[in-house]
Amino acid sequence: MAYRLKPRRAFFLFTALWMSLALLLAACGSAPAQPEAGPPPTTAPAAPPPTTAPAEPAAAAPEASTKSRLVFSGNQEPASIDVVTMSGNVNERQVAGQIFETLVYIDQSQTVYPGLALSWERSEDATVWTFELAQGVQWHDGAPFTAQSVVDYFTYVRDNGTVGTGPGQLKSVIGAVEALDDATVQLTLTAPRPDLLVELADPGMGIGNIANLEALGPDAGFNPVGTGPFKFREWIRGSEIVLERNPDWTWGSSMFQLDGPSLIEELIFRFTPEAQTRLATLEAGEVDFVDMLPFQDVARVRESGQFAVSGFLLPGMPQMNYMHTGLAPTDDLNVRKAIIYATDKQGIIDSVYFGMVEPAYGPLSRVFPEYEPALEEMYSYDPEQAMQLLDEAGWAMGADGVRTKDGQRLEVTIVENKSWNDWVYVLQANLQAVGFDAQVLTTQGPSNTEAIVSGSYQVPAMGDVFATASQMTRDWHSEGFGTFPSGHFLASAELDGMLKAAETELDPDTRKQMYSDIQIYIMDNALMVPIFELYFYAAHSNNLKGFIVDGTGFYKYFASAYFE
Amino acid sequence: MDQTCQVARHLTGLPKIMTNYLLQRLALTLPILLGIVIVTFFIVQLIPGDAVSAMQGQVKMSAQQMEQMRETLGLNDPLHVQLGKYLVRLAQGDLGRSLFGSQPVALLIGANIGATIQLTVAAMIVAIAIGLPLGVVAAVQHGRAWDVAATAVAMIGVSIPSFWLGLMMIQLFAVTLGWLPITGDRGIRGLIMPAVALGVAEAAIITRMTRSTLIEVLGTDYVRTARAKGLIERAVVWKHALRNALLPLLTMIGMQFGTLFGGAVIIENVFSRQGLGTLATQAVINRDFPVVQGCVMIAAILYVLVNLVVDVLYAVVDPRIRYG
Repeated sequence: MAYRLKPRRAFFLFTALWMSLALLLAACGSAPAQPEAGPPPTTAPAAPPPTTAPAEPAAAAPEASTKSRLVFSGNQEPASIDVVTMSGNVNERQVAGQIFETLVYIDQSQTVYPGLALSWERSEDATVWTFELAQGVQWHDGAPFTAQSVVDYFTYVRDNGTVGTGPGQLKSVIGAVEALDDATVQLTLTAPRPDLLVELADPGMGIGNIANLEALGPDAGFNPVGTGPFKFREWIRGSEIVLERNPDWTWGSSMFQLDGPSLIEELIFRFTPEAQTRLATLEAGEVDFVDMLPFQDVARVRESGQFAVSGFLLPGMPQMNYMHTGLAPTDDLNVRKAIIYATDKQGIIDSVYFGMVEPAYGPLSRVFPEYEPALEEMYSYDPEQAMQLLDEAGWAMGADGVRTKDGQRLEVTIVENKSWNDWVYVLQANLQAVGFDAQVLTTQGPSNTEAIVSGSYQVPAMGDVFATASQMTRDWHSEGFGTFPSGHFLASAELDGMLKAAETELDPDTRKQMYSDIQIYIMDNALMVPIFELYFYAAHSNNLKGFIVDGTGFYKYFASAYFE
Repeated sequence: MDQTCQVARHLTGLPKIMTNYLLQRLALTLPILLGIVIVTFFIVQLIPGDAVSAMQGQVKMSAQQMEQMRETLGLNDPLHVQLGKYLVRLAQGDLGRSLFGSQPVALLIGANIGATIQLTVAAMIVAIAIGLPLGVVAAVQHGRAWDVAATAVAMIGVSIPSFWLGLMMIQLFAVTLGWLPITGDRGIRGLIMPAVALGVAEAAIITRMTRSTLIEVLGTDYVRTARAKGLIERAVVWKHALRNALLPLLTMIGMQFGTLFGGAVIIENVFSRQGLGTLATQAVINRDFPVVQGCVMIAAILYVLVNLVVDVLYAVVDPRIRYG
C-alpha cells in the first residue's frame, strides 16, 4: 500500500513551492532596462586655487526636515580610520573626512576655504607657510585644540617611520614646525610647494590627534578622536560605522555655511561590495546615498526620477595602461605607438561604460588648467596604422594571426585590477586583431600593486586621482620606479628634470607651459595608452540636499547635509 | 537479578564510554588541526610577494622602512623558524595581529564568527525544513507525478547559484515588495533572505538524498513486516523507515556544513553581512596572513566539531550503535 498525500495538502504544498519559483522567475524578468547612452555631465575646468582665504560667506542654515539620520553606502569597509596612518582605501578617507578637519577645504569649484586655519600666508618662494588657527576648537574628548596640536601632527609625520598615503606625500619636505603662539603655526618646507593648500585639503590630511595615537597605538584607528562635525560612536565590523553629531562643533569651515553643529544627528556608513546590492539598498529605502553607481544602471536610475544622480569627473591621471619601456616588446617605440593606434577607446566607452565616460588623450585629466588639448590630435583609432608600425618594426604576421620577429612571438601581458579595469578585455581583443598575443592577468588589491611595481608585465592598467598637476611626479618620475603607482620604467633625465622643475614653478603661465611639455613628451614617447576620463556616479534621495563634494570630485562632506 | 545488573550497568556505563569516546575524538582533532595549520602556513607562503610588499600600495614606505618592517615581522627568518614561532604563539593562544589595522586576530574572529555560525545554522534549518519533507514526498510517491515534480524542483534548486538567487530575492522581497531588509538589520528579519539563498541548494541535495535512501529503506523486510502488522502508512514512513534512512543523511548534513561555510563567503558579500567569510575574503585580498591563517583554523575546528556532533547523534538515532 503506497502512502499518498491528501490531495488538498499536496496541492497546497506544491502550489506554494511553484509560486515561490514563479516569483523568483518574475524577478528575473524585471531586469534593468538597457540604459540609453548619453554623454556624462561636464565639469567646468578647475581654476587655480587662490593663495589667500576668501571672505566669509553669509551663513544661511537651511530649513531641515525632521529626518536627521543619513545612511551612506560605499563599496569597501576600511581597515581602520586614522588620518595619520591612513591607507589608500577611499572609504577610509570618506569617513575620516567627517571626523577630522583639515587646515583648509576645497570644494568642486576649486575654491579654497578656511578650515582649522582661518587664514594663511606664504613666503614668496612657497617654502614658509604661516597659518592662523581657529579659536575655541576642542577635540571630541574635550581636550583643547591648539597650535601645539598642529605642531605635534606635522612633527609626527616628519619623524615617524610609517605614515599614511595622505601625509606621506608631504613627509619628505616638512622641515621645521613651530607654534608662534597658541593660535599661529609656521611650517617651513625643505622645497617650494606652491600647491600646498591643495594637498592640505585632502581628507587624508585631516589634523590627527597625536595624543590619542600615542595613548592607544594601533587601536587609535578604531577609536578616532578628531575635531570635526561628527564624533565616532560605534563600529560594527563587517556591517556599519556609526557617527553622531558633535554638538560642540561651532567652528566649522565657512564652506559649510552653518552657524552651529551639523543638521544631521546620526551619520551611518555601510559598506556593500556587491554593486547591485548597493543600488538595491537605495531602491529599498535602506540608505540615502549610494556611491559608485554601476555604469550600466546610471541611465535607468536617472530616468526613473526616483533618485538624484550625480556624475563627478575625477581629476588626476585618467584611466590608462602604462607601457613598460624596459620589457620586450614594449621597449620598442613603434610597438608602443602601435598599441595606442590599435586601441578603440570609443568602442570601450560605448560597450563597457555605456557612454557614461569620456575619452582620455594623455596623462592629465582635462579638468586641470595645465591640460594640453593638442594631445587630442596626436593619435586616433587606426588599426591600419598600428599594423604598418608593427611591420616597420620587423614584426611579421604569422599564419596563426600572431606576429613574430627573430623567432619571438609578439606577446604582451595586460594587468587588470579586478572590478576597476573592465576595459582590458576589449583592449586585449583590439591588440589581438593587429597581431599581438595579448593575455590578461587579473589581480586585486595588493596583488595588483605587486604586479605593477615588480615591472614584470608590459601593459598594466592604472589610474590615479589627485587634485594638482604637480602630483604627476609620483606617476612619472624615475624615483617612483618600484613603488606604486609608477609603471612605465623609462629612466629619462629629461623627463625627471621637467617634472621637478614644474613642481616648484610659481608663475602660473610658465608652469602651464612646463606641464604642457611634459604631457607631450609622455605621449611622444608613447609611455601610456590613454583610455577614458574617470567619472564616478552617485545616487541619493531626491530630498537629500546640502552635502558638499570636495575638489577631487570624490569625497563628500555631510556636515551641511539635510533632508528637504 | 541478572537483568537488574545489566540495566544498571547500561545506565551508568554508557555515559562513561561516551565520555571516553568524546575525549579520544577531541584528542584526535589536535593532530588534524596541527596538520591544517602547517598546510595553511605553506599555502600562504606560496602566494607571490609578502605582507610588506602588499602594504606598499596602502602606506608610503621607503625600501629601508620596508626592510625594517620585514625584520620586525620576522619575515626574513627561514620558513621553518617562522612556522616554529607561529606554532609557539599558537600554543599560547596567540593568533597574532592583523597586518592592517593591527587588531588581534582572535578579536577579529570573535567579532565575526557568531554571525557566520548564525547564518550557517539558519541555512541548514532552511535546507532541512525544505529538503526533508520534499524528499519524503518524492520517495513515497516514487515514480508518480509528485516524485517527478519534487525531483525537478531539487534539480533546479541545486543548479541555481546562491549569489544569483540572493540578488533575485533582494529585487523581489526588498526592492519590489519591501518585506525584508537587505542590510543593517542584524535580527531574524535580516537573516531570512541570506539563509534561504544559502540553504536552497543544500535543500535540493537533502531532497535527493532523502528520496534515494528512503526508497531503499521502504523496500526492506522490516518495513513490509510493519505494514503487515497493520500499522498506518504514516507511522511506517515517519517512525520506522525515515529513522533508519537518517543515518546516511546525518553524515551528509555534517559534511554539508563545510559547504555552507564556504557558501557563506559569497552570501555575506551579496548581503553585506558581517562574518568570517567577509573577514577571510578581505584578508586574502590584503595578504593579511595572520587573519587568513586564523580564519582557516577556526573553520577547520568548527568542521571537526560538527562531525563529532554528527557521530554522537548516530547513537541517538540508532540505539544499536555504541561507542567505546
